Amino acid sequence: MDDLFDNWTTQVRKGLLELSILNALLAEERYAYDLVKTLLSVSGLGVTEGTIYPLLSRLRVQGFVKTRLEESSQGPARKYYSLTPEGRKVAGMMNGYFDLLHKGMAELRRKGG
Amino acid sequence: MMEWTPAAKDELNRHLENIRPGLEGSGADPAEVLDDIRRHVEEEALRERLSVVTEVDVRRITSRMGPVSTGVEPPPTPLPTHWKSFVYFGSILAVVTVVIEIMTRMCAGSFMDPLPTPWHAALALSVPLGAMVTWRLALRTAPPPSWSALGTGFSWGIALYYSIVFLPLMPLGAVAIVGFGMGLLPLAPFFSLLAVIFAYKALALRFPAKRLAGLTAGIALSWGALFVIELPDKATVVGMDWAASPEAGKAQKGLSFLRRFGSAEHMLRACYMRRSGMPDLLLLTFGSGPVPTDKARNIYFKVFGVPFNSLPAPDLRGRSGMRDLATGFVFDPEQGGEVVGGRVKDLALASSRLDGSVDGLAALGYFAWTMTLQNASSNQQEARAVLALPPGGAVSRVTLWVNGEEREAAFSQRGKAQQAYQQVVQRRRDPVLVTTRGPDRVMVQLFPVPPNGGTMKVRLGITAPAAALTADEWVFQLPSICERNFGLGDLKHSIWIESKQGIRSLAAGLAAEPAAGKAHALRGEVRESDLAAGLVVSLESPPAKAVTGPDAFGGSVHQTVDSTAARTPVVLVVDGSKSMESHVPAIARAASGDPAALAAVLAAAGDDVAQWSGAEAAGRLAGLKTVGGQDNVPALIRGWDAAAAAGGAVVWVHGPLPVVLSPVEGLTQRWERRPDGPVVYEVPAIGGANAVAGALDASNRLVRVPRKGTLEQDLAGLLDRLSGARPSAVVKRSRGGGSGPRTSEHLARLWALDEVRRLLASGSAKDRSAAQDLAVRYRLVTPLTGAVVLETDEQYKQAGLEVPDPSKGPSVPIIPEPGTSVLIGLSLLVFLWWTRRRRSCAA
Repeated sequence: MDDLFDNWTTQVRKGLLELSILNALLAEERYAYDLVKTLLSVSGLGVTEGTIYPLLSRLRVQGFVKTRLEESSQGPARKYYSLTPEGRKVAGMMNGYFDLLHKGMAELRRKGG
Repeated sequence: MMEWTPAAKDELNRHLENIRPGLEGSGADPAEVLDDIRRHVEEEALRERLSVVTEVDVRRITSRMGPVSTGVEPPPTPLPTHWKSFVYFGSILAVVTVVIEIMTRMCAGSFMDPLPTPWHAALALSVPLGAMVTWRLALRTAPPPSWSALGTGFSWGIALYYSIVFLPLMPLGAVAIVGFGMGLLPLAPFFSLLAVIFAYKALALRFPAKRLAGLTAGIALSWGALFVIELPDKATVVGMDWAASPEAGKAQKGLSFLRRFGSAEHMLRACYMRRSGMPDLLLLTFGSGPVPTDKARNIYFKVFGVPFNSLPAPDLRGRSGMRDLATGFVFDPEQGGEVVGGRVKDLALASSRLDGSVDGLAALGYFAWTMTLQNASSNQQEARAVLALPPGGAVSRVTLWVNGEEREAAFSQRGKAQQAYQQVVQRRRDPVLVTTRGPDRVMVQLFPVPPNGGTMKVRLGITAPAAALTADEWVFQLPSICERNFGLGDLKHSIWIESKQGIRSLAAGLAAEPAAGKAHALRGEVRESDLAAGLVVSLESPPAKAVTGPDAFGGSVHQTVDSTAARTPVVLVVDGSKSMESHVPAIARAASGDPAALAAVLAAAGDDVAQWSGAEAAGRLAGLKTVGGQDNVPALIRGWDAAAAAGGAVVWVHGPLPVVLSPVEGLTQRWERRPDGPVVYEVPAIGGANAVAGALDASNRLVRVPRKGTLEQDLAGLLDRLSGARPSAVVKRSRGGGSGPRTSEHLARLWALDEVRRLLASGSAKDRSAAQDLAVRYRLVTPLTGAVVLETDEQYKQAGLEVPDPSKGPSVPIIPEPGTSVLIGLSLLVFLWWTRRRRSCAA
């Protein structure tokens, strides 16, 4: 039973990880370190820093996010991430789909209960 | 500015190179990801405020970041089902065991105390807590926090410690499980250790990068915590071992150590023979072991200056702060013995009344002290107490209520009475034994006080002379309890003293009571603390110069009172125990009154004897530093020698002295060889035991001074009297006719008591035998005789004792009880009414 649950959560998290990154950037541009720590604090998401940086890079390569560097007096240059119009659009589509799915699941639970 | 060591840079580069291959073909830009990770590591180092980044720092930060991949982590490795069983079973068993032990103190009462303090209980509970938290962390997908291995190691260390401690009991547990299907509790530490190990295995399997990060440190931390909480107890064991050493230097070192660092609770437990703590796995005691109970009690007094039994016994099996729900019975090892010993649980004085009748003309009184002991425990118990009698007094009657009837005591040779008592104690019947414990002190033993709220009622009759503070000031100090093995609660003694002559008391608890005719009465409810502090009843007028009283054995006894004023050089001996701290200034002030009258001043202080001349005494006394409990015997011996040389007397001011710390033979020898040697006037600063006086039982040269006012007033008054500034009274009693008012048979008892003391002091076997016969004949408890009440005539015969017959010998002294008085009064009224009626009928 534990194995089934573990496998299922892995699949769910895999599907939600990119949406989580896009949602985290919906409101505003974010500093990379801050963005990573925010995602780490989402319970159940099960990510590590080592997982997020490659995903961010892939989203940038695909043109959904863009970056800029800003010099910092306290340490290394800070890297900021923000959504591109394409990123914003795909985030909207993914959220719409997720809401629909969530609603259907809720309906199923209600009828099943 | 943050500085990177070359090794740190190499470590980071190596790490980045290692992850580069995994990024190829992932859709991400490998160079960008590596750059991001480098920046992240720098940012972490900055936030940790590292000034120098080392290779270890880099390893820690990259380990925390987890493996670099382009997707989510793979499903966790499945954990074997039996691991979970071990973790849950071990944790639950540990919690249940700790709770049962706290509730029942089962192990503490049988083998050892695994939870002597709440801190031990907290450490024991940290094992199941650690196991469960570690297990839950292993089940999570997120990496465990950095402290997780440290916490697991802590639990591991504690479980390991308790497993070793319980190792000898584990075979018993295993055998009990096989034989009786129960006995899991001794195995709880071992199963909880397994729980921690399996929880840690699960964590290490799921998160290999976290393996061993802090585990060893956690184990070390747990043993450090055990060291800290075990240290006070184990250090006390070492200190007590040193203090009990026959080597004076080592013993002194032990005392000094215990006074600074000793655990009072551990020492009290040693005095009460209670188990304390666990085996010494940490080897903190360095081979020192527990000391015998009698030595522990001596050490307790030397360290704190108070008797151990001034405090109730610690919880049956647990320490303070731990609940003791066990109502189990504790065997009283002093039962039937010759010492009061420790307080017994659930035994208390339920009621106490003292009725006194004072003859002011003859300066004598008779006091009947009726006490009821109650036992709330479920077993029979013995009540023991040492009572201070009015100075110069003796117990002359003892009765016990058996089946609602008052039964008289047999007075006999002391050993015989003790033997009869012990025989009956063994058979668990109803005896009472009264024997002396030094001048003016008796020990009372009652057995058995019945269980489950049962009571035992006893009455002691005390014949006592009034003590002359000066030729004009005569007082009775009322009896009190010096030492006891039972509780008092909020009990007050009901006191009622009557006299045909005027009497008064300055005590707040006693008030004048209107009495019939020309009688005077004082009555009140008084706490034991007030009684012990010295509660006196004063005669308003000095006694008659001469009185006579009947002697049941023929003839009469004559008493004369004269006054004298002679200058007697005084050697002042002061107890320097801690309990005297607040009294030392008063002694110094009293001593400064007439320094020329002081031949010398000695102080038992600082575990030694200090001696000063009279002139410098007051100043030196004022600066006397009191500490612990002091041995007064060496100071008394030196004081006696100084007084003998000066032809004077010793005035000994002391606090409670519950134990004899060195032999008193030096003193008894001096008194035996010089029966007319210095008198020692004993002035107790506060109530309580005096074992030194108890050891000087046969001495008639130790005189207790009544306490009437403050210590300074009483001591100054005594010094004035000895210096001749105030006249003293000289009382002489002799057989044969004489003039003066007639008094009761108690005068003959006081004469007999004088004779017994005189004969005892001579030291010859013949005189000793004569003294014993005299004491038995006049029914007096003396150093040679005791009083014992047995339940049946048969028991008296079996013990070789004469069955008490109140009609033989001197009449049994009584004080009419209110009930009897009322009956007599009613009978008189009826008689008067009847005679008047007859007369009127006749008329």
